[in-house]
Amino acid sequence: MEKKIHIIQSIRRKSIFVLGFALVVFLMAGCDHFNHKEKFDKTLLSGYWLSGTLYEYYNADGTGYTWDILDDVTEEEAQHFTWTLEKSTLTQIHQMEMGGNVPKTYTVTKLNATTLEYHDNYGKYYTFTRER
Amino acid sequence: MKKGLKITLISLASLFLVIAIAISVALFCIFSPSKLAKIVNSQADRFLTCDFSMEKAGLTFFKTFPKIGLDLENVVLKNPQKGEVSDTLLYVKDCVAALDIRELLKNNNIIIHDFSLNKGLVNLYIDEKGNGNYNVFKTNDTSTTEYRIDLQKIKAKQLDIRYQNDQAKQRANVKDADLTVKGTFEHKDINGAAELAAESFAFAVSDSSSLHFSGDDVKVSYDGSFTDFNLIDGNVRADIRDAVLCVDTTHYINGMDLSLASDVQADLDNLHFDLQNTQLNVDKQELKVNGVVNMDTITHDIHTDLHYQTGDWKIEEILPMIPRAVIGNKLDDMQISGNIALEGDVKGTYSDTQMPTITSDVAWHHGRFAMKDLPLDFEKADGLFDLHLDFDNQSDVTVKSLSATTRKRNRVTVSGTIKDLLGKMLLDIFATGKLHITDFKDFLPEDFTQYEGQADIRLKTQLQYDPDKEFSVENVKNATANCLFKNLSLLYHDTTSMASPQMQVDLAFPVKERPYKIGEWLNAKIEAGNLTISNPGQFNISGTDVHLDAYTNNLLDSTINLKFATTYQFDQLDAQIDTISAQLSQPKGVFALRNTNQIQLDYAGSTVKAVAGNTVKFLSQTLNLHVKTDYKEGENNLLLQWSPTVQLQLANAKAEIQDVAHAVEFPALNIDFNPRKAVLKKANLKFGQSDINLTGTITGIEPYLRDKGLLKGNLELVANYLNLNELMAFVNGFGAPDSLTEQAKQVSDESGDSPFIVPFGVDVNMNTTIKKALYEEAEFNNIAGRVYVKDGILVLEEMGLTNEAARMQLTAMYRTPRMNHLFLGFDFHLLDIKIDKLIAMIPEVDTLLPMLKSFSGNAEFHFAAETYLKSNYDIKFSTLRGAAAINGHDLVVLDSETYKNIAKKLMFSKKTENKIDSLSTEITIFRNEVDVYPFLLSIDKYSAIISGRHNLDMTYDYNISLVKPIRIGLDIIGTEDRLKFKIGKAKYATMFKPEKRKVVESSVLELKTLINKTLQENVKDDEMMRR
Repeated sequence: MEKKIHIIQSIRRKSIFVLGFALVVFLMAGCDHFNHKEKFDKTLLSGYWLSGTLYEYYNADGTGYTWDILDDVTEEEAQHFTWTLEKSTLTQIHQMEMGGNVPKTYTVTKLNATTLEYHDNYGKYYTFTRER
Repeated sequence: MKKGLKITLISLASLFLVIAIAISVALFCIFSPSKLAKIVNSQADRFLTCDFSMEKAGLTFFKTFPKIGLDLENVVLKNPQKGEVSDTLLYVKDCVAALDIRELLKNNNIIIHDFSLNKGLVNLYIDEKGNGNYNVFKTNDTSTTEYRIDLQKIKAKQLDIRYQNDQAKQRANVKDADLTVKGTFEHKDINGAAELAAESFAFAVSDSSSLHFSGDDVKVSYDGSFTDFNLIDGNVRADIRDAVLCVDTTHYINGMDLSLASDVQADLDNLHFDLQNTQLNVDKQELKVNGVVNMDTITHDIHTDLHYQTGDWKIEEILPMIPRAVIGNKLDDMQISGNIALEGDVKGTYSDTQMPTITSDVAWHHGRFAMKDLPLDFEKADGLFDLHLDFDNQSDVTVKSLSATTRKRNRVTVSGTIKDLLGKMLLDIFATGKLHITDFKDFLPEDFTQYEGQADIRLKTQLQYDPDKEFSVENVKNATANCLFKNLSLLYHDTTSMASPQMQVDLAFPVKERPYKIGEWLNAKIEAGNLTISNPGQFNISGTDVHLDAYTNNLLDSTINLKFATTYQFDQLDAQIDTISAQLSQPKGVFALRNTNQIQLDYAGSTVKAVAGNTVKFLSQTLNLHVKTDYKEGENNLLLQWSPTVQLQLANAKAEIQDVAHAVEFPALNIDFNPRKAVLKKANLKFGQSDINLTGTITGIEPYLRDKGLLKGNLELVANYLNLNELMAFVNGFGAPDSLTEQAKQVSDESGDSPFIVPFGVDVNMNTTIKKALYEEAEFNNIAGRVYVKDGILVLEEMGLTNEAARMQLTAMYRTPRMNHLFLGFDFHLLDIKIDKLIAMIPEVDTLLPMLKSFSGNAEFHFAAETYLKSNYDIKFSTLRGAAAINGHDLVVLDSETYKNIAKKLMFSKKTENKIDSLSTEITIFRNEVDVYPFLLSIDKYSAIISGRHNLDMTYDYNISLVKPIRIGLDIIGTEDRLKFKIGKAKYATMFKPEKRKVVESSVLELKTLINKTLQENVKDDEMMRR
């Protein structure tokens, strides 16, 4: 009898765990539906942005280039990319000379006349100030 | 004395005196002057046809003792003839004749034993018809009495003799002559001897050409006959002081002392003279003559046939005697002296238009010779000549032998002929000489400042010399010279020297052969056992067993450029120029300077060794070279200036270059080159471990050299083995801009970095077929593909290669814009590769995808990346971009510590079989971030989606979303040594369920597709890969 009670309790604990786990999963999944995406004005993105030694330049036509003077790279030697800004999702597709694309997706958190802030999904944050 | 004897002698004397007085009285009584004059006049009429008169006649005993003589005073014979200036034939002031009276009276013979004249005049005249006024003896005497005059002794003193022949237009005058005659005069025949001494004499012929002969202190003797007043046969001697012989206006003898002795036979009517044993002395010069001289009585031409022989004449005394009309100005520019002896003939006619031919054997001794245009003076000359003087045609000289010394110690010998001696001389000369070069400074260009040595010269020449024109080398019709130089040493401009212990130089001028068509003018063949040309500090060239066969164009024509061509052959030729030295064994070929801008070099030889300082060492067992250049002014680049066309063949050659680790060997090389194109017909070269065969063409050389274009190459490279490490080091930095070269040096000095710099200015396309290649530590097999280098960019395009790990295709680009900013990009595809081999071959893969080393099996790997590098090849992470796709099948998960942790956290069954059916993932690299895009992994009954990031500092942030059998997430965070495993959310739970896929997941999948598609676009099909 005790063994049966033990089995029932065990099943209950597991069921509670599963239900609880399922509830947590449901709640976590359901959060996406409630994610609120801020919309930024892409025209503000045009121009030179500087973060430390890292420069990024955005053209209004969806092209841009980036260089880091810490690595002894000049603007003339900058590498090019294309970009899109949909709501807060900034996608840069860096094109390699040999063929192949390297896409990078960031979430913009701040974009105004002087400041650009974005981060990726791995917790890397960038803060740029407008240079020119 | 006894008294008796004294009385006797006095008595005899008294008796003799009485008898003499008695005879005189008797003669005076019998032959009184008046009676005697009548007798003489009567007798004169018997013999003479002309008027005869005398003032006084008397007998003398004392004057003609012991004969009785007839003494006449003022005897005059007059026989006037028309045309004669004077009618007096003979005038004698005082004449004594010892006659044989008895013979005269008894036999009508006039025997004059003694006849003397004192002061008188003889005036002989022949009119134009040939009638002489001296024909005063009766020949048609009716008495039929023959007369005969026997002149036992005739003496005349102070006679003036005049002779005029209007028929022969001759005149003669003898002044104050003393005459002694002994002989007979019968009819027109005279025999006897006569001696004439006169104060002066003159003889003249005034015909179409005039002749004048005169002299002083004349002594003439004749012993012989004068027959019919015409024929002379006797011995003549004559001595004349201050003689003058003038024909027309030409003085053949002028104020000289003459001496003549001759056996003469003459026909005066025909003016024919036969001279034998004739010896003529003109001053001190002796001349012996035999032969015939004849004057045509009508034309007055003089015909000669004479043989003559001289004594030893002094030329300097003889030459002034030669009339200028004969010799002209030929000798004006000539100085000649010495003793000369002549023997020869004078044959021919002398007239207004003709000159006799003179031949002569000439012996010249102790002579000296100089001529204006001949830069050499000769002395101690000895020679034998044959002279043929034909003034009407051509005069020639044959030089049998002639030797002389010039410039004190240089002996020359000459033989040959001189044609047309008095006109445009044509000399055919053979000469030898032993010369000291030092003595002939003026023959060498002034540029030569020192010269030593001896020369044995054999010269054969044919040349024209016209005294009226300036001599030039063009007058040389043909000349050959064989010169043997000993101990030759020349110094040019005090800097460049040439030396040879013995050198044979054979010159030929002009040349008939035209082997090079450069206007061949002079040929020089040079042979030397040893020849050295050097300029200390600049160059030194020495050759052994030298053979040159050279031609030049006209060296003396300053209006044309020098052209020069030679064949050459050496046993050994060593050359050192500045820091470059070369040793050539048995080189031979042709060198031609066809114009100042056209050079041809043909070279064939065996061993060639060359060293350029410490920079290059070159060795070739065989070298064949054919070069033609076309020099162009105004070009700065040497290659463009000379514009060479080159055909080069090397065999077994080797070049060692400074700072290049390995020698470049050329087992065989065959190249055609010109400024437009270089054709590598065959280039087999070995460099270190590499063994390469190269063929193809290189174009655009000229634009490349002008910095207006790239050097373009289209080559086929076939190699058994290629060590790329060595080759890249070899071509490192070729043609790089100066700025980059300076950077390289600076970087190298500061950091020691020496990155590979891709050649600039070239556009070379190379199709390669390589059996095996080594790069870094990896060996690759069966490489085929295209390599091209374009102006600082190196591209390996779709190179197919295999090794034990995989079949591969590589497209890579390397560029060196600046030393600290080197671009490297590649597109690399590995098919059917073993994962462990992949990691071993490319360790960087473990950095990109650390989890891969947890798998074992085969995979496909597509990887494209690019980055800029620092000068030490460190990656500039801010520039690093990359994308990779890995597709694996039938993999095995290795039982690592990480796998155990994951399996434990995800509650994998212990019985889980660690096999994976497939794996397909995409990876991007951006800066130092490596993002692994979500991929599905199925192990046994488990399915998980793995995604995440790790940084190149090896910090991890991964998520494993277990989707089967349950959904659960596992975050793996930390470093490789300290990984933290945390249960969390399954980030991509529905990614591979299209019906449940979320927007973000769709977006990620699109990116995955983009990455994969662009990565595999460049993969050739498998068949191509295999090729």
